[in-house]
Amino acid sequence: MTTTNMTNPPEGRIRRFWRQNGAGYLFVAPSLFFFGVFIFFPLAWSFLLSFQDFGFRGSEWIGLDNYISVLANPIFHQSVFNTVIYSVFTVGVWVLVAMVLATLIHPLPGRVRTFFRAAYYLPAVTSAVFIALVWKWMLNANPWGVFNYLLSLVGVESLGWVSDPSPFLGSSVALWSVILSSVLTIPAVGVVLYSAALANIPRELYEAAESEGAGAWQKFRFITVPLLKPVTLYVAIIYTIAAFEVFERVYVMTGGGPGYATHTIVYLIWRTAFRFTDYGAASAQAFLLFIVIATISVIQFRALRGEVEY
Amino acid sequence: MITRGTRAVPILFGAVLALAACTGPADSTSSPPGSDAPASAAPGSEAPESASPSASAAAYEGPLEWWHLGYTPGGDTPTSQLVDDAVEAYEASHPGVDITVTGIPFSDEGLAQLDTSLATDEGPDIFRIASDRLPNYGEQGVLSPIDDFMTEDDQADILPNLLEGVEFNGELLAWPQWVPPVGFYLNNAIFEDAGVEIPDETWTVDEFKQIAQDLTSEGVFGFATYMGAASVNELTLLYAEGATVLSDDNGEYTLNSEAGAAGLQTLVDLFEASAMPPDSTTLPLADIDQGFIDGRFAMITGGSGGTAAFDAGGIEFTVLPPPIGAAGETVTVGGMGTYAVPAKSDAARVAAAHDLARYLTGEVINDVPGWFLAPATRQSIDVAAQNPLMQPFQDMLPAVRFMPLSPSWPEIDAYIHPEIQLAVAGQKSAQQALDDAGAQITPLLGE
Repeated sequence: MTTTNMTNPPEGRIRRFWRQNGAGYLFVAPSLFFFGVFIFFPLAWSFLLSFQDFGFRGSEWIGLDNYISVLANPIFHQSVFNTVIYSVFTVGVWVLVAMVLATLIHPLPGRVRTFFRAAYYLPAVTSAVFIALVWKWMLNANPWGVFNYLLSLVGVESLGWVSDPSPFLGSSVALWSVILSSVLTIPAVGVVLYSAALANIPRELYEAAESEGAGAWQKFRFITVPLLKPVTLYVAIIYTIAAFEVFERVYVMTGGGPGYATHTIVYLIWRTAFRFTDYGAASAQAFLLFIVIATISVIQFRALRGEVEY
Repeated sequence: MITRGTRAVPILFGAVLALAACTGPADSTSSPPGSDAPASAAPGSEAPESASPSASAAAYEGPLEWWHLGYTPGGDTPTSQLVDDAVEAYEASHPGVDITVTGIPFSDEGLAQLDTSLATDEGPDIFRIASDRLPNYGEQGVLSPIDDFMTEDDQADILPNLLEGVEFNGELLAWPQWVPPVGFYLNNAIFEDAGVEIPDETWTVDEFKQIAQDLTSEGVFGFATYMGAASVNELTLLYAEGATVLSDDNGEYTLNSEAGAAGLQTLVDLFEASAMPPDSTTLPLADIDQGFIDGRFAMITGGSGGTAAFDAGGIEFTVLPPPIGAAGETVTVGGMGTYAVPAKSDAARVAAAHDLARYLTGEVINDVPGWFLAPATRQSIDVAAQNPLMQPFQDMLPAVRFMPLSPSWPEIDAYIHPEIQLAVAGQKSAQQALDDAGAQITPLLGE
């Protein structure tokens, strides 16, 4: 009896747990398996790699050397600076444009609204490389580039756009050209998310405001914007992550140049990993990027969080 | 629960960082997950036991895995068709050998895929690679040197200075196949339209600069060259003045010499004179070739691989060696295409792979006409006799200067081009740009 009492209760708990939760775990098991194999394992391995000097047939543990050398590298500093400039401006404009566009199309008749939603979502289902290629040709430094042609119509000389590393507004002409190409691409996901959120704002709030004499701007400022705060938080965070991870636009439009004018953190990670075969340093750069993104996301979350009651 | 978990994350992260700070002993090597490589294969140590010289390739029957950059199955491209023909011919003369060709993208990602495969014993048996990547492989001991597999005939046939182009730490790391020197392509029609006489191979840098400006007109730029990474095209003008990237012993950065600055100044002057396209600093290689075909660029730099595309495009062109500068003689730069054999535990298979490599760098010419897309490294093979377009490039072979055989070459290369771009764009003087590149490169030379 004593022995039975010592061994049976744990087995009973396991069986009870399995009976209560087994089906649930079985359902999520495939997803967990693929998450483990394709996300968690590579992530964990790259974290370990960041402390190693990578070799083809064996890597050497070198402690924090990769982090130290990356943090001391002036090209990394330049890449971080470029990425921050790019992110601050693109995220700010994307959030604003998405909110304004969603607000403008929200009152439209059903079919027209659907048309615009679909039209604005097109960039999200178009190849990022293709979009970057189109922008590259529009910003071509030759007189036949679209932007230079437009400038010539008003008598302005051709600009180098993405080929010009000259200083401009604290950065370079080339980086601002890349930023311009990004902000002029409609932030598709944001428009759709804001559109969905706008549909959930009770109509009565606007009617009450109108009865108090509020105009369009006041309704937008004091009803729409505050009630969209949760979506704004989400949109700001996903756009910040996307902006910090900008790669294909730089890869296609400038190749990180001229000089280091458009090097971004992810471009540098790609270069370190795939051109230098230095997976250790590339992993260290990736985890430093992770820390930066996580920190900014937490700051955004704390700044924008708050209860919203309808 | 959530609070505890949240607090645990930074604690765990801090613990890992603290652990990481404790650098392990020098011999604390670890194999990457998924690798069954023995600890003795760690960097700095000896490679796995290579095939013995006595291993007979003729006795081998079994599979051989050949990885080829840019290959697509089914002979969809001219290069792929040549590869398929070579496989068919080799298998016919070597019954029992079954060759599988795997294509990998001709890009940094493709090369990374190759590098990753070399971390195991399961990767390719043979692969084609540019010589500038050999030192990195040699340093890590992942290749089977060719020294023990070369016959006396091979040694007598391969041009001696080209064998030096695959030598690293006293070992010959790969079978030299061909050398595509960088030449100057001249669009004959643009010269004719501008009334400019096409120079001969004794042209000088001063003449080149003048011609480039004379050819520049509405919609036509006199000269264009690629300035991006993983290419040496624009370095021809620096080498023409007598500059080299590193000293002979690879111990010192020397591109910031007076000769180097003078060569770079040629590019700066041409750009300032609008004889080069305004997007020169970011112009991709493919766009330069297309611009030449379209008649937008009168002169461009390029390897012998461009001849086929330009010829197919119906362009009448002339190929010249780079103009002669302060070096006082024709000097050009180039890489070398090679076939390398990874070190593996199966000695017979490694020997068979070396035999295939020997075939692909020599005898194959008898079975697959047109196999060589650049001048061959063997004296017995006259590529120009089959393809007259190769003649100018073949004539340049004695003037070829290879890039330094340094394991750090990818980094060195990547630090040079951005600085050249900044100088051309007028952001730095030529001397300052080359000095700044040196500041990044010099620490690498001590590693």
